[in-house]
Amino acid sequence: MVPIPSYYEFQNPVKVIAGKVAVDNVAYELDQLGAKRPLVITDKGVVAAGLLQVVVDGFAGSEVAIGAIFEDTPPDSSNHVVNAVAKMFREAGCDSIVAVGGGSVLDTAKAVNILAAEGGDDLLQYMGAEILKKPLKPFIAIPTTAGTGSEVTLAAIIANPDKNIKMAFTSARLYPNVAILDPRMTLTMPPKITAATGMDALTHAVEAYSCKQKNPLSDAYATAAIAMIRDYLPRAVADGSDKDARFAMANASLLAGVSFSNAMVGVVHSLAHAVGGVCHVPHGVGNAIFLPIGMEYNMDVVADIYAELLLPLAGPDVYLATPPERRAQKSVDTIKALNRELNRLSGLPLTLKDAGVPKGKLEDCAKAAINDGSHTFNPKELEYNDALSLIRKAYE
Amino acid sequence: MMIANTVAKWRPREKPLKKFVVASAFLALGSAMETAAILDKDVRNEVKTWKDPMVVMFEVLPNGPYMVLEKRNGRLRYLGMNKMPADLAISFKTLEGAFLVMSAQIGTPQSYAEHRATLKGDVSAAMSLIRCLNIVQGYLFPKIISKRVLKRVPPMNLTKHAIRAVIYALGVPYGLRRL
Repeated sequence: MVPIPSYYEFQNPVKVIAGKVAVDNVAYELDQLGAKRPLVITDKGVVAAGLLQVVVDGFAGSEVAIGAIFEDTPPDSSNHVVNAVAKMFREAGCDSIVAVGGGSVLDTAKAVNILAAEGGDDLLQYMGAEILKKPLKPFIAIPTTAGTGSEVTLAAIIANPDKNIKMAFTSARLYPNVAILDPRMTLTMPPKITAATGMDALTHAVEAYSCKQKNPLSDAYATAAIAMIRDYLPRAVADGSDKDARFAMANASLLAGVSFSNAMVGVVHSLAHAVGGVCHVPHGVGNAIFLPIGMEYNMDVVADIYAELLLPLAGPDVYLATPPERRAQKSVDTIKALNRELNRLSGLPLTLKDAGVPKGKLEDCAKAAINDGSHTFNPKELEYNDALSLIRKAYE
Repeated sequence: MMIANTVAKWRPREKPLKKFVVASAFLALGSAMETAAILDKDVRNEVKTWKDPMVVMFEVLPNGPYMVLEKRNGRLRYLGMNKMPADLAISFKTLEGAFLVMSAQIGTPQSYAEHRATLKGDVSAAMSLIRCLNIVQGYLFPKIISKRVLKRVPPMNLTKHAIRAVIYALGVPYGLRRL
């Protein structure tokens, strides 16, 4: 019997525009939102791949004209970058934001939107959960990875280099108004990034399905995402020009994003945020490494939930062929096998050592992990010794 | 046809008993935190990592009750039940939501999962506060309740039982001075 929580909240206010030449709708959608002068936020990789030009082409002949473009979003955006870009927003007289890029660009744009609407020049004073009071500026998200799902989530993660941590901002106000999935936007992702971002999406879906805030609506999105990732991620990594696989992964990432935005994540993300903040391990790589380890950690509490996940993870044939008492472990084994396959196809690291984490930093990572808010929603408690043990397990 | 606006007939019902339970729980929690910060090694070590001074406030929207803690000069004190500007504020959205938590019907992890409260401030400081709250709830609640409201019940030994006795016999009554 499917358990129903006694109380939950679910939101999905983002308009999703997906498919062939979808990006060309950007000026129209801004106009519908009453916006005339957007700030475009992106990064050098997107520019070099020719994707920014595709977006700019969407403004041809429109009364909506780009007011400013920021091309230099770093891979781990910081509060210093956000403060500077918010200043650009104000000085250029912009009234809306278009973000074109991966998780760092989308999160930077959300954080810039906070300052654009709330005023001030210090992002740190807005840290927390559900405290933003003012409506933000119109915001369109165009992801170029598949992905963080940030185009449909209420969270932004921004690094604080002074404290060496990743700061979390969560608010319903952070949802973009529109998310545009255009198959052209993810075609140029290299195999390793395709693999890492795909595993990020899988982790979102698995954790959303198994953490304390899960609900029937988020579960539906999670299982749909997992099944799509099962079918299309290896294909997209093996052949980046496979447009169907690319578009499917963009959809899977969005589904997983909706799911975890409404059900949150857990220990895997706390550990990934920690190694990301302390040792700059890319987020998707950290999630890929820690996902099977985090699941084994939680196994004594949520084995029945992991057993249910075998169906979308491995398909109906494997699910039916696996005795019920072994399905939970089989789910973990399936993910380990996927990691190995992605490692073979793209060189995705399988251990923290492979990912370049210095052995001397493991204790710092453990400290950062327990101070990350994600594990609040984990089904099992995480204390310092637990975090250190898991990080050591992931090391080699 | 007569159309009558009857809004004047209707008032929200006050819930004095629930408000009293929440206020009492806040008092017990604040006093227990102050005592545990002296006697419990883990709480002491957590509070050491907080900035100094730092004000932590628990509140129930829209107009109370409140519970305020302050770390100043290395010492954590329970300041009482008056609202004040805080570095870290945990705000229960409704009295009913606060009552569910403070009467131990749901635990703090479940309350976060159910969006019963908002958080203003540094998340990493909040995580440290939550670890302290878990320890203090372990002291305040008998195991049969702790098992229901906490993800992991802090282990108890002779020393911890003694701390529990001090919290009940001295810590909480001492907090009454703030009324």
